[in-house]
Amino acid sequence: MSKKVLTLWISLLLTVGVPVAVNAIEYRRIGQDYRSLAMGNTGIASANNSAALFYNPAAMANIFTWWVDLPFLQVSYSDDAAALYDMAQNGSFNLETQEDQINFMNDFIGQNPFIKLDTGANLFINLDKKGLTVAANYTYEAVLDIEVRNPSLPEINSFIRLDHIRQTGVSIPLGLGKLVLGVSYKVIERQELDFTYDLNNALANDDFPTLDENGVKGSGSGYDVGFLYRTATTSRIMIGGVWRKKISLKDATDIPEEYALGLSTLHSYGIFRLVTAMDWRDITNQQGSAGDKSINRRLHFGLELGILPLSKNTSWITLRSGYNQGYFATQPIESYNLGLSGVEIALGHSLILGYTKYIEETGEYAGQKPSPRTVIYLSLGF
Amino acid sequence: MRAKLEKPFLGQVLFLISVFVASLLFTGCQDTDASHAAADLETCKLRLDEQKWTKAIAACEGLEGDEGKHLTAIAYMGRSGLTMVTMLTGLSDSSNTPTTLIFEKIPDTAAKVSDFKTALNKIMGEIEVKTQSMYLEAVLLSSLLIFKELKTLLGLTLVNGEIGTCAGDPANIDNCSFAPTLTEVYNTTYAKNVPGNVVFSGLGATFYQGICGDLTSDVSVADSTQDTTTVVELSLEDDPEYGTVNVDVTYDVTVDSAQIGAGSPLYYNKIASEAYAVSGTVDLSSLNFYGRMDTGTNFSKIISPLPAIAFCNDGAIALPEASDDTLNDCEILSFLENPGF
Repeated sequence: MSKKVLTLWISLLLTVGVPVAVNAIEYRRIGQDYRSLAMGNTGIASANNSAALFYNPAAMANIFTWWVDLPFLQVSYSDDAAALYDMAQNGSFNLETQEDQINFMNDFIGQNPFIKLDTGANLFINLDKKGLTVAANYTYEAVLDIEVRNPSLPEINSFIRLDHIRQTGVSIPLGLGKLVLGVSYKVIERQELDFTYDLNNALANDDFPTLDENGVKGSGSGYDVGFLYRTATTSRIMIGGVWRKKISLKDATDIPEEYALGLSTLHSYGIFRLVTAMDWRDITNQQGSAGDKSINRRLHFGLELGILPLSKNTSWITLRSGYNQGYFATQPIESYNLGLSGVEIALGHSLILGYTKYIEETGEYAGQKPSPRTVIYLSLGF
Repeated sequence: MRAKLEKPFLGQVLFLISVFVASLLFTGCQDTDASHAAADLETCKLRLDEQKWTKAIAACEGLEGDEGKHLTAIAYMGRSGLTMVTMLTGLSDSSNTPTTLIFEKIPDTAAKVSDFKTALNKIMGEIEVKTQSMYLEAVLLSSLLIFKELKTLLGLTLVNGEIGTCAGDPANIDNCSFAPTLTEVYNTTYAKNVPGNVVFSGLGATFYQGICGDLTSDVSVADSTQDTTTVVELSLEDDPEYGTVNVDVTYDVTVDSAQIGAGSPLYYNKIASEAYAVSGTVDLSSLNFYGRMDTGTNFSKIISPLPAIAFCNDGAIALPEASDDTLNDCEILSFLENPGF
């Protein structure tokens, strides 16, 4: 070998991000945003920001002004990705000798570097305080998910996806606005690559798969139909529901049909505003592997405390916590403590900075294989 | 027209909070166990990634499908200290030879032998569609099990990167305790030493059990005994003094033989070596023990100027045949003269 090949392989792993084919299945949903993720990935009833189109078009009725993000930028990464980056930065890995290389691979077994980038623009125009809102969204989403497995014969499972999403939608209040119906239409172009590359491939000098040469492409369109029922109480109880039509993307992975329900409340106490939320996502168990019917994995709970509200949607400072797929955001994982799951600082819509820590289930059931992740969000707009 | 807010309702708020808390309590935080096949498979992989081999075996054992069985095999290998990454990187280094590289991995306990046998049986006996990696693993596993028997038989040692045998250097099988003997006697007719007595007590059943026995059962080892005086015609046409002569050779020979079991290390070595050789990335020809054992070569000794005296003659002891999936001592003795390591 092939020290050269091995070095190249590991270097690719480090620099390009060559991951593992993902055998267990993470629920890969498009457009999951920092606020919802900080609140346990709730949003079917509680969405009230510029990501509402991805959760429930009827929830756009929770937006009472114009809202333009131009642009927004969201970066998500797993702790393993951060650790890898740190290693690369401080030079703590040494690939000079074959022993070093093997030790590195052994150390890397079981880790799961994950990086996701979302960027684009959002436009929301509220036409009526009862909830008539029209919106458009333009998003690029790139996902790189790497996993090294099998200590006997290490293999790199890689998942790379590029999505180009365009969607538009409208929320329409009925009567006095207690009941809101929403519909959105989306067009998705997807390019993805899912492969496994093992040591045998490296020894055989097999070319490393690339998205351009080995990836698959697909495009398709679909629509979401949702509702939001808002009670006229001080606790502002809201019940939301959405149905997403399955979107076939030809050679690429389809977006499965989804039914989801959500419950949310909002309480105001002076300078504080408390939001609670609970979602039951993927009610018909379309996500995941065959036989995956875990309810815990599909339940989401969230809390949000806004301090010094600026509007009905934003506060100067917002703190969040949540329970996502079986994991409390503050749950220690082998001495790892996430602390508060989300903090946001906003200057109206002009500048929003969000920071979220959450845990994603990447195994087959709630509690099997947690992936602690961080999300950093920035949007400029008005 | 604005919707009119209803009056604050504390009970409603408390109810909602109660629902929130109760939902968490009743649903539980996490699932406690796998509920479907993919979850079981993932649990197995996680234990493997953690290199908790015994837990991995428990999690993987019983998984259906080729992937699950392969992972189970990996768990058994891992428990006994065999990982392909170490082997492969070593094998890919041209300065290493496969035989010396795996020498240190020869199982030295019954538990390791059992793990390797189980792993080999999983890969070759249970997996339906095998990959090159699996064939590679099977070549190595079968070689280790064969090596284990050879080590016992030949007293193999590794000195300065070279494998030594009881035959010594230069190799002479007469130096081994099991060596057959061919005694020459002075023949007054020809006024010369001629072959007189062939004595050999066999390599024993244990060796054949180890390499030819199915992984899950013993193999039948046959003893063929010849205890007769046989007239052997020897041609000495090139020697004008003697021409063609007949000499009496006394055989006191026990030759063990065994059919290579269809689930034995040697049989799997044959199948895996052939399959891996097609497109394997590493030259493992030196680990094709079957190819170098079942050659049909009859062990013989020479007493100059007489030609070779074969230890298996065509009398009471069947002559060895190449590639007939049967081994006997005559073939093995020939192999041991030049084992290739």
